[in-house]
Amino acid sequence: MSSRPGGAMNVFNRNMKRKQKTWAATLPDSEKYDYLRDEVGSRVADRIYDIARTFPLALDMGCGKSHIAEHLSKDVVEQMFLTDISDASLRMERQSEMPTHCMMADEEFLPFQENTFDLVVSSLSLHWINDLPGALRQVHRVLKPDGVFVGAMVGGETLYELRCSLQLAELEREGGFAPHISPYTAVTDLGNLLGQAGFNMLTVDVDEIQVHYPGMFEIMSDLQGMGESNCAWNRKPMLHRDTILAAAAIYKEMYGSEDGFVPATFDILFMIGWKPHESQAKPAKRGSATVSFADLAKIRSQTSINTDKSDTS
Amino acid sequence: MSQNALRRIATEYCSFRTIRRFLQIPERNLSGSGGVKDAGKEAFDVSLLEFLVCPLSKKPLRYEETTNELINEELGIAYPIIDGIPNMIPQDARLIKENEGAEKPTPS
Repeated sequence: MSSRPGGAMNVFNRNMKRKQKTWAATLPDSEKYDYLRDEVGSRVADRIYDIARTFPLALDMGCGKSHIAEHLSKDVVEQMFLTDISDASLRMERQSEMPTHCMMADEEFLPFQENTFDLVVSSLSLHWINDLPGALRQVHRVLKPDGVFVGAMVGGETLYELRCSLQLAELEREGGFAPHISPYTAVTDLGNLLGQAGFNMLTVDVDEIQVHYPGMFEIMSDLQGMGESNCAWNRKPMLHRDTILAAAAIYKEMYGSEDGFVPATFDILFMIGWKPHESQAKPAKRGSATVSFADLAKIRSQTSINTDKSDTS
Repeated sequence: MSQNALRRIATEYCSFRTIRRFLQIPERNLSGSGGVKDAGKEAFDVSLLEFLVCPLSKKPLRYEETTNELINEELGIAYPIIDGIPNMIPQDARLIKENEGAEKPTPS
């Protein structure tokens, strides 16, 4: 293991995650589990379309089966690099309009030259990274000045139903609980992380996606099929049958709807950050204002006079 | 009873059809895109070296045709290229032996 500067935590077993993703991609029906990635990928693409610009060179970090590129057109992105930690999903890359280059790369060790990309995107892969501040700094490094990073990751209160059910069931049956759902980044921290990495003009927002399942077991098998199984170092290797049945019952009782379905909530954090450049809008220099705040009251009375006039006319 | 039998015949017919469809699609894919894939396998696009660096030292890499690897001379490590996909994950990199590493810089 290489040393991690900045005192970053080592929470996740990245080798394990890679094995899980490779295993999930080689499933014969792996397409079946892509619904969440497809949805989030299209939402990320939507945010890219909002930026009125053509990006000559883009990078997708943790592309999976390239869930973003398939939604993008040639007029927006002219050339794209796709990276993922599992080669099995890269081989299943979907058709897209622009030319793409695949390579295996770890998000924590980006193998790209400084100031290379006009756009970096990432969808649902940053939540398994140990050193998120470091990874964001690397993204900042590979971006050209005035380049933009558009990312989506799960965070916040994702899967709180499953977390609560498992904790309650384990407490009841085994007298203590182990973490089964990984720790997530809070929305409030994300802005600070992006700011520390050197991005400016930040946008962070949360989309709540709720998926309805027949029961807890379907949620767990689907998460496994997505390659999203737990890979924390301190995870518990087994879950007793007794506990898991109790958890399923608690899940249904606490969160189940009347028609027999149980919801699973995914909080998707979207972030947009720009690498600073001279041409970007900046706050005005302190003391450069020409109007005093004390005059605000006058402006208001003026507008009220105007509206009175328009009412009478 | 007769309903069950009918349903079974129907599902078997359907599954037979899907199996046929599955068999046909891979065959077509193989014949259609096989040539293109083979071309990608053999040649690594050297122009990509302009963008690629070693993920550890962030220094430029050299493409070694004989072994089909990307080599960082300074650290003495080689990143394999499998089916045209460079594997830039540090854990998978191969350490070049010392004497081998000493030989390599001389021809270049």
